[in-house]
Amino acid sequence: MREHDSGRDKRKSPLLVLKTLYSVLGAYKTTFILALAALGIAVGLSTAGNFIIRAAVDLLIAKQVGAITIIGFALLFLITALLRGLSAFFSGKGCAKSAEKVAYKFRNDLFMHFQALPFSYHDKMQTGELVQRATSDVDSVRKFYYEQIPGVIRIIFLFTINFAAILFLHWQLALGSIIAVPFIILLSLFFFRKIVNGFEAYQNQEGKLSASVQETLSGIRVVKAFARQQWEAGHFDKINAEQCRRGKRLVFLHAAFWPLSVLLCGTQFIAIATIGAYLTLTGDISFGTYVAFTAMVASIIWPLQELGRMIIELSKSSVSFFRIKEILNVAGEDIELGLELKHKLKGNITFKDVCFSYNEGVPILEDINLQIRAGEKIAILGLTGSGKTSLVNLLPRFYDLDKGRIYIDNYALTSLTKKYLRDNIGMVEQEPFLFTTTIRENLLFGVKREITQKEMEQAAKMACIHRTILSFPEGYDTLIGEKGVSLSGGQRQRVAIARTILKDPKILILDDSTSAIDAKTEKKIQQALDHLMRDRTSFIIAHRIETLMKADKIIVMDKGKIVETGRHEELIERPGIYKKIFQIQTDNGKENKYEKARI
Amino acid sequence: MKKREYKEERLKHFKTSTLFIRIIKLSGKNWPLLVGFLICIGLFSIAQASETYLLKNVIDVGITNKDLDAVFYYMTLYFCVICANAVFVFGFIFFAGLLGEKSLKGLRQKMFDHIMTLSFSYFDRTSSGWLLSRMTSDASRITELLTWMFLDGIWGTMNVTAAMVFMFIINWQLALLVLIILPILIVSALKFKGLIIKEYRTVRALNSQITSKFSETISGVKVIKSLGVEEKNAGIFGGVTDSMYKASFKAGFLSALFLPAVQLTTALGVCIVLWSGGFQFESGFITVGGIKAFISYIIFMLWPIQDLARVYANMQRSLASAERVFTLLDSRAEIVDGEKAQSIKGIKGKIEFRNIHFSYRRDVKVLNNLNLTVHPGEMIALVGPTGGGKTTITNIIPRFYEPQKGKILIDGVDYRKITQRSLQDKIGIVLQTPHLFSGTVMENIRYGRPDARKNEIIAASKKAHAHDFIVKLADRYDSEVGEGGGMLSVGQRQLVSIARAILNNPDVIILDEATSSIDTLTEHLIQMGLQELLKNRTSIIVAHRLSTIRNADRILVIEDGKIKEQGAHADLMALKGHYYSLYTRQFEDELLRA
Repeated sequence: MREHDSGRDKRKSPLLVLKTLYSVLGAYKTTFILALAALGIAVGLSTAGNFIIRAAVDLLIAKQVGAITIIGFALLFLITALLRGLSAFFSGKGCAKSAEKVAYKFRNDLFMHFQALPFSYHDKMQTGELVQRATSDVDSVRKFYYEQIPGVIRIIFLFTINFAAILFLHWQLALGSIIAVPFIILLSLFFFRKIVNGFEAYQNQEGKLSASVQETLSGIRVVKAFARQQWEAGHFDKINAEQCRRGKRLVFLHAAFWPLSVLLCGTQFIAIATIGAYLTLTGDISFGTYVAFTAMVASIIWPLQELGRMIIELSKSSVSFFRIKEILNVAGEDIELGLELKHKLKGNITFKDVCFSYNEGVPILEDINLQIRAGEKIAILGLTGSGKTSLVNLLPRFYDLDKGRIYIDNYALTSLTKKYLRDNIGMVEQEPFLFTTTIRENLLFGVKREITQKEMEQAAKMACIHRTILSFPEGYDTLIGEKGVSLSGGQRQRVAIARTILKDPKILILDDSTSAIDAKTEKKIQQALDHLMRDRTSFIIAHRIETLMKADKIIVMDKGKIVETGRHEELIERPGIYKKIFQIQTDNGKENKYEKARI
Repeated sequence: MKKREYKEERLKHFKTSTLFIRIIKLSGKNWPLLVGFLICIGLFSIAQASETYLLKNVIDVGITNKDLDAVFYYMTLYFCVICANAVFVFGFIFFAGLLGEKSLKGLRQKMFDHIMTLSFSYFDRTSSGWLLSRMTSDASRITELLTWMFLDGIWGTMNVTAAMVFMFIINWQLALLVLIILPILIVSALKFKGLIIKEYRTVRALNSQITSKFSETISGVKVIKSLGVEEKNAGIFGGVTDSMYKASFKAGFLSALFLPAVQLTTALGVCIVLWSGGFQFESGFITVGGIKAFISYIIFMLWPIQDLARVYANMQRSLASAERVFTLLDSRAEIVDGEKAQSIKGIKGKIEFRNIHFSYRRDVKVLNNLNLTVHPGEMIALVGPTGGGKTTITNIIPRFYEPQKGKILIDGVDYRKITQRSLQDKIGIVLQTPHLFSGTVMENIRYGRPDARKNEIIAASKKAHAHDFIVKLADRYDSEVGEGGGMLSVGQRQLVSIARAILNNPDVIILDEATSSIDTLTEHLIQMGLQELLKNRTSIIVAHRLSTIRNADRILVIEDGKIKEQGAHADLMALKGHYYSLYTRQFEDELLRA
């Protein structure tokens, strides 16, 4: 996926990339440009320092100075140094400010956007992938403004300013100083392309290694039960050895590049310094010039070693940037588009010729027609993948229909705002999601009115979770999740039920909500749910007949179609899926009756 | 099921010197690499310092005396030094890099092998995340200490020392002046950098908060949308990003201040040199080349000094990592095979519990003087309230945990005389939530018997009633199951795990029945697969289903770590005791309906 993306971005012209990256700075464009200018001034002042030294040395040689002049030179030098320090500081501060602001904005934008993106997008993307975009890619962009651009600009300033200065002193020397420069840059580019790629390969392997360890650890019981420790160790050894091999390759690359670079830069420096010395001896340049010259040549040559690394990293960061942009460019949902009714829904629902698919050509729902009166309880039964969950997911408009219409209280579903719809629909899922915060926050999260402590406790009591909550050390203020208590599946579900009771929606969707609860609690929960379902249009998805049989209408789904509809008593009379499932499930019961009779 | 509470394994405290010695010992037989890179980096620092000295001589001996031969002589020497430097650079990168990679590999292997030997109780106490970070980030930090941090340390020390030595050679009075400033410089650099490092620590902590908030929001997006709490959630997140911005800007601000401050100090040093040099120049006390060399040396010394704080902070982190890793490596498996333990070829299936006492934690007794004999071929159903000790009984038989008191006999032999591996190999375990490993369906089924042929695998899948769904998958038996089996439904995972158990052909079966919801038809297949698995084998089942309980040869009601009642279904019902009330309460609905 990653390589695929970067391949696409290679076609963008560098100029366009720079333009886009510049526009991202927004209100901090000036700050950033000024910061870069300050960087130039700092470099310029350090070159000026060399000129002061040059003048001082020349005067010393000519023995034309007294103590006062030297103090003057020292002061002058100190002042340039001070100014240089100040500009460097302002430059660093400016870069930090613009970079951090860009990162800040991206983080917030991405966060809002993740919440706004439609399900069709989230279904396709993995959580880890999106988190990586929002963290490491944002950090790459931050580094781009904070380190990489200023780094490259600094080298460019160092090169041009010092080169110009040497050119001013002695142009032949200046030209001689940069003979090796193209080679240094090429060498650096050549190796760092390999090094940066090698490093990525190393990191990927590190990811594989930790995924593999994670898997072994989470399945440690199975590993031990099948006595496969040795095999696992062998398997790990292979991944570990590959990691080591890639690491060694990186070591070789570094071990080849740096000595070569030292040799190349060193030779260039010695050659030109020797020629400079010769020119000084012949009197072509002054002693002071020679001293200043060697200092300036050094600051031209040595920083260039790093240029290759910076350019390669720069291009990598711009890939990160475009990956972020790609996400932000996907249109999010507008939850406030449409009609917002003042009153609550009644809950009459009509499905008319509804067709739906996640991917074109693979229909999930076909020609669904349903008429539901307010307050009815609808039970949905079907195999995994028959379309039960997809059907109810259409109501809060998590997905859009391919064909057909859905009406609620005679309003076309699409004419109402998503916000209004979702406020009126409550969902309790099989594996409910809770936030890592206190239980209280979790209960009150979706409620947009004032809730008293008593009301909250009442809801918790109805969901049979009040006593469990009180058994925790901090009651309703107990943290759940990593840093707090971990709730069992049944407890999580009851918290979710209490949350929905407080939300008080007119339409209710229960996706196998009682499955993870033991038989004793289930009865209580069932009472709570019965209470919750009163006066609300409710959809119940379940596998167990006993959960379904009390419904006003039972819908049996198979391969995206409604194949049977009716009440329990009607359906068990007809041959079909419902009857078959009923028979399998009640086999036990019949035998029991027989046994009971025997006892 | 028992609630699992993870606690960080209590850390052992090591003396810093012990830590260093153990870290150095990690280089093992690669010690020549360690010696090699230390020598190379030392020589490199000296050579680097001598470059400046040679350049000084070019100016003072060569140019000032108008001696071209001297210029060439010193320049040639300079070139030799550069060549030598290239060799040293190669040497330290190569040796240190190689040492790092090799030690990292060795350390990780050692840790992995060690983790494999640890007992179940260890994994109850320790989360897999904790162990994972020991294997990954901590291991790399330790090898970094062994290589790059040692390198930085030696380089810095040698650098400063060599520079000082050369300065003393050039002019001892001036050198003395620099020597006096040096400690002030080091201390203030350390203090200042300490502030920056502290700020970056805050940034790191905030960063992990941001990461977890992102992943929470993405995985909970359905709830967020249906509760309509986008704005509220973003508001909470905004608070974190605000602090993140403030902390990282502060860190950036301080860093921006730090380098100029260091440079300014350099300039001050240079001025002192210029100034005093200026006075002394006339008396021939110091030369132009000497002044230039002093300036270079001061800049040269500042690099390691300004880096000192970073190296020190990293070293602290690495030592903390080492403490955690060595704690892990020093932890001993609680259950180890005795010296005389023997492998067994098979189990007839007689299992005896004699006066078994067991507790996970000292204060809570889970099994209390339990006596039980399971006969070969018998099917035992364990029923009873949560926390009564059912799962514990099944965990003790394969010796995942060891009772504090009492004896377990397998076919009349104390099981401590049998190797754990051969015992566990003969006991098949099917867990409530089946765990599959990423890889193909085929690889997962042959997990317990890597040498199984394809037709054996297919035969096992057919018996498990898994074959039908497998052949409908895109790549049939070669379909990837995804991480943790995530690409299969829970029911399908269960079927694969039954096939895996059937293929392994164990003599004793331990089964923890699933309570989770699976659609009825798949559930039916699972039931049939399980019947096949249980056929002709001794089995102990933590039972939740009526059919299982009724088919059992014997039902044990386990409560408070004791067997309250045992017998066949009809007998126990007639008894109208614990089982009767449990049964009627739990299955009332099903009975009423039938």
